[in-house]
Amino acid sequence: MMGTLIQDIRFGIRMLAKRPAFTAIVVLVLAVGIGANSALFSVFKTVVLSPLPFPQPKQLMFVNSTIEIPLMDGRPFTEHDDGSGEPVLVVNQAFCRQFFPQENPIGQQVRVFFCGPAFRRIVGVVGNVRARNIDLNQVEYSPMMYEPIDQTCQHSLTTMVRTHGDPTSLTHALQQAVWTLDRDLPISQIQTLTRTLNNTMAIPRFCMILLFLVAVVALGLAMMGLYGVIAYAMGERMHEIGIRMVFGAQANDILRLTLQRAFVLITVGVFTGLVIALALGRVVQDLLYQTKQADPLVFSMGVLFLVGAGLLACYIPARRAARIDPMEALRYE
Amino acid sequence: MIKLQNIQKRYNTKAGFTYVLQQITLDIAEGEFVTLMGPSGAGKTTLLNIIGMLDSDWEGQYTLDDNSVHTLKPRQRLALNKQYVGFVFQNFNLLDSLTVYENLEAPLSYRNVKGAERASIVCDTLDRFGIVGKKDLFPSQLSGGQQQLVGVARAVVASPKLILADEPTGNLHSAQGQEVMELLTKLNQQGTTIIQVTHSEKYAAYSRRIINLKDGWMDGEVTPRQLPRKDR
Ligand SMILES: Nc1ncnc2c1ncn2[C@@H]1O[C@H](COP(=O)(O)OP(=O)(O)O)[C@@H](O)[C@H]1O
Ligand SMILES: [Mg+2]
Repeated sequence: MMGTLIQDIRFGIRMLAKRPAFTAIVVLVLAVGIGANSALFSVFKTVVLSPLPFPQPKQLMFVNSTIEIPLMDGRPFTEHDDGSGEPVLVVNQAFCRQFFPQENPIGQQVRVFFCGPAFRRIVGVVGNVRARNIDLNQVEYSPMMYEPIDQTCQHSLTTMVRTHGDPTSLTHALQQAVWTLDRDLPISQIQTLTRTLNNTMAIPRFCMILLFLVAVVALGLAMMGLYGVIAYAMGERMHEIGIRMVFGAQANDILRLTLQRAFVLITVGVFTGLVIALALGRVVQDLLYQTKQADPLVFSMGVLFLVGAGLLACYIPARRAARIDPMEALRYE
Repeated sequence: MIKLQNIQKRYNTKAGFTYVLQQITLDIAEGEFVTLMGPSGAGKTTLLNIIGMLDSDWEGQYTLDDNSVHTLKPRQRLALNKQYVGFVFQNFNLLDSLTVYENLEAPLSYRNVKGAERASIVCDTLDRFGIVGKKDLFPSQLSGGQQQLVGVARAVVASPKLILADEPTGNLHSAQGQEVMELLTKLNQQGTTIIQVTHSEKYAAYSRRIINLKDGWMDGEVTPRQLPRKDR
């Protein structure tokens, strides 16, 4: 058994060496297959296996001074930070790293160029969060300043409300709460955080779906190519199969032989194809958020899947070959 | 050993059925050396393939020792072929991508012969046929005569009871042809039943029975003695 396996492998390699064009096609088909597969599994992994591509999804948005954002240094805003108090700011760590790499930012006065008082004092430092414009390709956090609500001159505000239970049931109560403060205040939008997030993610998600579809099509083509190539090779081999049957090979021997050969072919193809796919992977990486180059899990899933699918594609012609009358097989030239 | 009764073979062509074998009835005992002769297209190869169980699409009755071949499924026929038959072809039909050694090894690999025993059988056979020096060459590196030596060696490597040789000398010049015929004769003397197809009366003379086929019909049987003298 082992002996015939080695003989078959030796034979397979000899065959491939003798037919460079055929080999090149197989390798190319498999490379496309691997590329497509890896893309598929990347998407699968990103969308299904890791629900949200954020390091700490809880810190997604900033919520007032009861602060879900962790305070790292200094103090949070208090009720004294109003119109009559000193204009103050709380900044995030990214801000500190950029503007105060050496010094302690607490107590520093900075000049700002948006409406309201120009000079403001930093009183606290908070952790980094993704606050707005969740750009999925952005790995670095951007510097951020927070100003107290009583010192702002913004014309519109977004108020975040933490709820227990279904947030949509509170829509009416929230409107009432706002209108008790000021009857004429327009409310432009009431939205759950999930919804906001979904909207932000809509475009990247669309890209992923598109990529997914492209990958499915590419994989389908690769499978068809593989099937065609194997079926063609099998036709070329019919005469050999006939000879082997004349000299004692039974249907099972033929099936085993053909599958073993296909396995050798696919393995050689897969490993060569892998190199090409790694290059393709670079393209995939550019398209996909947080897919590491040559993610080993993704690649091995892709390779395994393809070897399996390839063998399946071989099984059909292999079985047909195993059932043929030897005399008929011998007629192939 | 071989008992054929009313064997018929037909092909379905656009013009309708074409019978290529009709009412073939024939007994061949173990240890015989039989020649099939007849013009091209007479059905000799077809008959040989049926006897060798490479073809399972025919009518009639065929008994091989105790096996009623006509009742067997293609799969079982193939198993019986493996048990009984060694084939020699006019165009050698060696496996191009295998060396001489590997070509001889192939039949054994389908017969559960273990590694060490396999190697010793192959080496013995190489020795017997005087092709030890060629064992690592590929068929394309051999002359026609040498290829047919390998072909015969492969046919006998698994010690078959029956050798079917379809124009084994057809592609050889006379010295080579003679060598192959002497090999077959020797195998026959050792007890192997042989059925050969040939166009040459000289080579037919090595056998003891000559069966003539014509247009798919049996057309008489002669012994070599009855052949015209000039060819002997
Ligand atoms: N696949 C086929 N389809 C139709 N006719 C065939 C086929 N194979 C062989 N024949 C016909 O069967 C006849 C016998 O062929 P064959 O046994 O090869 O003859 P021989 O070996 O005596 O020269 C020929 O007339 C040939 O044309
Ligand atoms: Mg013929």
